[in-house]
Parts: sequence; C-alpha cells; structure tokens
Amino acid sequence: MDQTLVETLHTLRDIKGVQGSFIVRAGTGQVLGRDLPTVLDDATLAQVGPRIDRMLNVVESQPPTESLAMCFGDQRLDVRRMGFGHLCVLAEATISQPALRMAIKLVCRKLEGYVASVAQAQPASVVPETNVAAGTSGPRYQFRGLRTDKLESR
Amino acid sequence: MASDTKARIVVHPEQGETRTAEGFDARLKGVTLADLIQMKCLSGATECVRIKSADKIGMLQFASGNLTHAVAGDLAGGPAVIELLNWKTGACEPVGTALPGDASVRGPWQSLLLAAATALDERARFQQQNASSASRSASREGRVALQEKETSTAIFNVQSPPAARSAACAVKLDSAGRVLKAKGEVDDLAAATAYVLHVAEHIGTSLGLDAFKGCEFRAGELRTVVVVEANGEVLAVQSNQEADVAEAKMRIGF
Repeated sequence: MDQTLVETLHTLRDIKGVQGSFIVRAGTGQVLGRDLPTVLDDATLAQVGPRIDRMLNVVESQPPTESLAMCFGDQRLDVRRMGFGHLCVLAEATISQPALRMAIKLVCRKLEGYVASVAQAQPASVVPETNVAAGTSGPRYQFRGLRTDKLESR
Repeated sequence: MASDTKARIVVHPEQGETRTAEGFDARLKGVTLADLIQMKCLSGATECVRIKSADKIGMLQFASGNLTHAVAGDLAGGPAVIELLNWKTGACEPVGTALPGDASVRGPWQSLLLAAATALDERARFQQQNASSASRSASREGRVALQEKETSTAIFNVQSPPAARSAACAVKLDSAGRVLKAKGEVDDLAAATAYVLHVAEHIGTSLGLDAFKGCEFRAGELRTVVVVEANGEVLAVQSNQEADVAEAKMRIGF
C-alpha cells in the first residue's frame, strides 16, 4: 500500500468522528489505498469498492455525480469522485459536516494527481470471484465485531 | 433566521406542574419558538414542552440542553421542527410526560435551527416567486404535468421556481420497488432508487454497518436524495434546488 496515500488519508482523522477512509479506482472499484481499522480486511473492501463505483454512476446527469453521502444508522459513508479514483470516508453520523467537507476537499486536492499516478502504476486487478457475491463468503466477523450473517438475517 | 420564525408565542407554565425549587415561572409574549429552543438548550433544560397553534399541537422534548424529540401532527424529527417554526402564533407550556420512542432529533440544535430557518426562507422565497409569476399571467404559468396519484407529504407539494420545475421530481416506492406516489418524470428515478437500496444494503452489510437510512447524490446543481422510511417505504426527491430536498435530507440527518 502506498505510504503517501495512507498518510494523506490519515489526515482525515483530524476531524472527530472520522473512523477511516479508503480510495477505490474509478471504473473497477479496486482499492488503491486504505486507512481503516484492521477488522475491515481487504477482502471486504474488495466487495465494497466495485459497488461504490457503481453507486456513483446510478444517477444519470451532466456533470456526473461528484459526491455521494450514505447514512447507515449512526454512521455515514461519504464518497467523493476525484478523476481516477473515489475517496471514501467512514464516519459517525453526528460528525461536523462542514469540517468533514473541508477535510475531504483538502485530501482530494492533495491526492488528485497522485492517485492518477498510483492508479496508472497499479494494473487493474480483477476482484476475486469468491468475494463478488455478497454474503456467500468473506470474513465472519466484520467491523465493530458484528457478524455479517446476523446482519443479513435482520 | 427566517422572518417567518418570528411568530408570537406565549410561554406559560402549566397549572399544577411540579416546579424546581429555584427559578422563575415566566409568562412572556412575542417569543419565537426558535428563541424558546435556544433558551431551553442554553439553560441545559430537561423538559417536554407542548405547543398549541390554532387546532394544531406539537411537542418539543429537551434532554440536558439538547433537543431530542420534536413532533408536529404526523411529522417527527427535523421535518417537525420546520413545521413548528412555520407556525405563526400559539402558546406553549411545559408538560410532565416525556415523548415515547427513540430520539427523533439528532445532532447539534444550532445546526438544526439553522437548517430549519434556511428551509423556511427558501420555501417563502419560492412561494413569493410563484405568487408573483401567477399574478402576471395565469396562462403562462406553465405548470409541469404532475403524475401525482396522491399527495400527502410536503415533499410532494414542493413549489420550485419556474426555471427548476422541469427538474423537480419525487417518487415513493414500497419495499418491493412498486411506485406508490410520483411527481414529474420518475421512471429513471424510481429505477435508480430501487437499485440504490439494494446496493447500499450490500455495502452496509459488508462494512458491518447498521441499516441503510438514506443517501444524497450531488451532481453540479442536481441533488438526489433517497430516504428509507420507518415503514420500509422509500422516498426519493430530485431537484436543482436545495430547498426541494432539504426536508428529505433532514429526515436522514444530513
């Protein structure tokens, strides 16, 4: 994992409530960099990345969707498009939104060109087939210790 | 703050209400509900306040200086706060019983008041624009043909300025993706909403997050907000105007 990417992503944690962040490649959803708790493993992100990429293309518009904010209970996932990749930030729902917007803006400004070079340097990998179908594989224990099988049965 | 929020509210304690040992019981005139919320929050109050305006009744609940619950008619949470601030006159009194259920208002009360005031300002501005446009020429009003089968929520009565009318649309789906209500050209929006619901659930499940509550897409001026309601129905609003989607955003705490 590129250290500059990780360090830049880590600056988002200056904002109280940010739990982590990652960058996925535009078009494939391949994870290019991450600063997340280890309970969220790479296999999990490999499932999430392509879905986030598809979500950004759901709304047909000109210009295309620039950002997406999703709310899940007490947490939110903010996605910002930046050329070659999408910056994804996981945070508490009660986070200061102006502060988060500013932090995302600064990180995007810093990473815009850098992500392009990283994306070009890393060949686009194919997501392992076993990870594509949700709920059929992957780790049993996920973020915050919740079991995915329990979540799916809710 | 919106001028609409300068309503005249009479504040008085309820007869027989148990009072704390210290402090004054006040009877004030000309206080706005925004003032009341600020007073209660700044004083760190834990209290439930009933608001009456004509035949309408609302409730505000404070806990340790935070606004935790708001109810106005059928509305709850952020939309209820907007509705309450829109009431012009009335009276309010403290009541002993707390509102049932989980807190419907989250986040700092300052942000909530600001967002509510902005929504009311925008609503007033659009109503003004629509009124003047209608008076100039009723025949040139150029209303968008609405496919509205039934409208009950304020979101489906969004009054956008003429320039944005073609962009404003809203749809409500049931949990199976069937269209329950629609305004404007909603075919694409309905399909997108149903798709978003599925993909977002997968994302949330993979990351071990709680149930999906809603989302907002931004593309230039275009805003698309999807809200999952408590009964499983899904509301989606799309517009070039922030005010059109403000209420939907408040429902998911954005």
